Amino acid sequence: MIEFSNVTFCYEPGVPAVQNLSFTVRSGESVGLIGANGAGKSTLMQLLLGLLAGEGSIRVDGLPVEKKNLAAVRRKIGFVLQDSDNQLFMPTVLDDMVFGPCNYGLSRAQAERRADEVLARLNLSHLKNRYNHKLSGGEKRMAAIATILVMAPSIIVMDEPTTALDPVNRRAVINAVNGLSQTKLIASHDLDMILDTCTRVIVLSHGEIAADGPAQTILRDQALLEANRLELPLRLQK
Amino acid sequence: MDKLAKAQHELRQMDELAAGSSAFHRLHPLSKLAVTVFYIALVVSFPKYDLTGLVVMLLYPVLAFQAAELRIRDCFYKLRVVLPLVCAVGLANPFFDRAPMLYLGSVSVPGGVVSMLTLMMKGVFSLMASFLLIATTKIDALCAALRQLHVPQLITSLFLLTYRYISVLLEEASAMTTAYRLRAPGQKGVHISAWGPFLGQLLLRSMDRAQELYGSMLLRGYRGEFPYCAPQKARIHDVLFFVCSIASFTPARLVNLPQLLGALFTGG
Amino acid sequence: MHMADALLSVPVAATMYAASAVTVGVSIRTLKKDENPAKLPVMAVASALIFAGQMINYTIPGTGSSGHLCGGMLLSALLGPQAGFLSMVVILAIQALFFADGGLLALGANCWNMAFYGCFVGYYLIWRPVMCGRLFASRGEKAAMRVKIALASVLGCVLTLQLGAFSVVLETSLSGITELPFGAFAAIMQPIHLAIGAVEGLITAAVLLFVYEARPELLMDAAPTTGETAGKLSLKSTLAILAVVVVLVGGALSLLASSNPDGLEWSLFGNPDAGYSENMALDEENYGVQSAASEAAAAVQEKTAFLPDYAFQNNDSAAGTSVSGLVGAAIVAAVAAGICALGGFFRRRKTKTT
Repeated sequence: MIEFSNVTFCYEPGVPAVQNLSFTVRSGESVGLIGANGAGKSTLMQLLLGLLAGEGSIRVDGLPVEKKNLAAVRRKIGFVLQDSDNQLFMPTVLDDMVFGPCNYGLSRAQAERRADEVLARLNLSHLKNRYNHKLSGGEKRMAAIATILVMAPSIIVMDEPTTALDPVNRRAVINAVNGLSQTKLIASHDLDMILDTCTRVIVLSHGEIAADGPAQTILRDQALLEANRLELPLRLQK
Repeated sequence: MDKLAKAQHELRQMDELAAGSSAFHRLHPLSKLAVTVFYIALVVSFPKYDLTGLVVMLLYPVLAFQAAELRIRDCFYKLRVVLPLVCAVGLANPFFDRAPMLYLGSVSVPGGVVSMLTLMMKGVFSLMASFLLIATTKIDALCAALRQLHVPQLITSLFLLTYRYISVLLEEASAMTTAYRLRAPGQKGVHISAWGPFLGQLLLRSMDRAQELYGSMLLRGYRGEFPYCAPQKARIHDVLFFVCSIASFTPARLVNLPQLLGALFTGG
Repeated sequence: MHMADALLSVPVAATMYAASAVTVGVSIRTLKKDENPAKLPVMAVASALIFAGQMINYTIPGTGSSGHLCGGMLLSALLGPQAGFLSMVVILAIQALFFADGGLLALGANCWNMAFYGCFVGYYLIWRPVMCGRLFASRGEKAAMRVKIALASVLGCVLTLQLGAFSVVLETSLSGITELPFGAFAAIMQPIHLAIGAVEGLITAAVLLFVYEARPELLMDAAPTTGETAGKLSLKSTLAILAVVVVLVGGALSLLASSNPDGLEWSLFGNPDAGYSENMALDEENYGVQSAASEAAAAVQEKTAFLPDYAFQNNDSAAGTSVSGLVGAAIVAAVAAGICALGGFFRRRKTKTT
């Protein structure tokens, strides 16, 4: 459960990057976050993770996102970054996967067992002892998702999970996302992927919510999408 | 400009070698580290004219290379970095030290030549030994071993992170130089007008990357501690390897073994 | 300027390791006081950047050659001297281990020659005084800053490279490695590194000026307001480090000098025209640095001299260069080649069967 109420944030005084945002994401929901470049998607995600602090209130499972709760909030949220290289900072995939669990008090052996489970679930067991810098782009993305899942978050936030992937890898990521039962918030320009993975879509425009509704409705609304520098998903084009 | 690509290749190659599974790879990193340091220190401490005594030290790297299933060729490629400075220093010796040291028939060999050759051999041997260490030890295992030696965590963590981001940055810099070269045919390097922006842009982007990286560390509960893989337990092999190496290097340093051997054949 | 293992004797290498280790320890303590966990990723990415940046060739106008970046100055301008020093140490370690640039034994010396001078001397003696001074104030703040950055980069690179080059000469000579007289060696090294330092300084200045225009907050002491008190504290602690290090190095050098007066004196005042044996007349039996190890070796040699007419007992022909020595060496080399061939043979069989 994610609750935003009247959230505003400015990088420079007087120029709000997000303005007066209010919305709720219920447990188990999959929400797509779309909008033009600079519409405020990244800022919204950073606010949710407590990497930025703005005005208004944000609650995650009832916990306010404030300095004293940050550790607890971040434990609930897994964030998949756009650039997997920034997410995979240890030498090998296994090292990266145990990084989070170990920081949350699991022993190395327990963490490795959990990592094995997650890798098996994602059919990635062959990546376990590979060096991060020798993975291909698709492998990196999947490994990055694995490092998040191993922490067993209740909410998963993804920033452009399918950019620069070949169609097969893109499909693999979509299948992996659909296999997750957690609450999901996915920011992307890949509207076909959003259509495949999300039941609800929020359109951001200049830091404000331009539309919020079922994916099937919003992603078919050509006028709305074009007003936000977007296009109909390829699959829905005639 | 190909230097960047070469460095990437070299880094990958070392990783691949270290991923091997020979008996030598499986030795405890600390044991290998101690033997390597001891070996290099002994090699370096050979007297400057003791060319033949030094030759016997060749046996350790040669044997270990075979045990580790490595090719000596791979390591000689790296000599291009070490040898120039060693040669530059060593080449002066024949000019300054002309006193004959040895007569081979009617040809006299000056001391400077002997000391130059000794110096070069020292350079080659110490390179072989450290190559052997890195080519058979994974970086995370090495860092765990360094932690056992109480090397501060800041250093080992920084080492791990830097190692990881070197390949990322090499790739970015390499892409930038390619982009530059395609638009500046015939230029050997970066023109003076682009001196600042070229690396400067990469620097700014890297600082943003560091910020994002820090965010992703925080999100996974980073509080200043890095979880290291549990240090490998020392087994009897590791101790044996250490003891045997020390026991065989030391006499080689104290007694000129090739001389003894040669005397057997030439009759002294 | 990376020194190789072969250019150092064990005592000199150990001394330099000790000096660098003390600096590492003090730097870590200073950084821990700051308690800024965000600094680790910045340091890591910055050192990776410097590593890659040093491989980019910058064309020097008017010449066919190319120059490189000076890592120490750039890092201390970005991260401060302590963090810059640690980053340089890690870069040097990776260069030594993975790229054979430098060596395991020479790492301490390389850290000192490049990282210590580049970061601490470069920062406290050049960067800070220039940046915080009231130079060129008449030109307006921004223009003055630009001139100061350029000046500090060039001065800093030249000075730190001179110190580094001089250390290389000193360390090599003290190690008794080269026959090149100290003066001649220095006379070659210093001017070369003057030129290199000037070019590196200009490249570093260009990069720092770009950063200053785009994001001045990334540079140390470039922001209009500087925390004076914090600076003073770290200056004091650095002076303390310097004092400790000077005592350490001085002590080690004097120990070394007293154990081998001939070697040091010769390298400093030797007659280059005379041969080695003439200059080292007193020390002919031990050739070079007389360490505990070589003394022990001599003792063992005496005890193990079961055949007294062996060449290495004979002072007229230097041990190790007699004909029987050469024959023995050739046999060892043949054995080594045999081992390689055997290893290759077994490996081929293994790959065939698997």
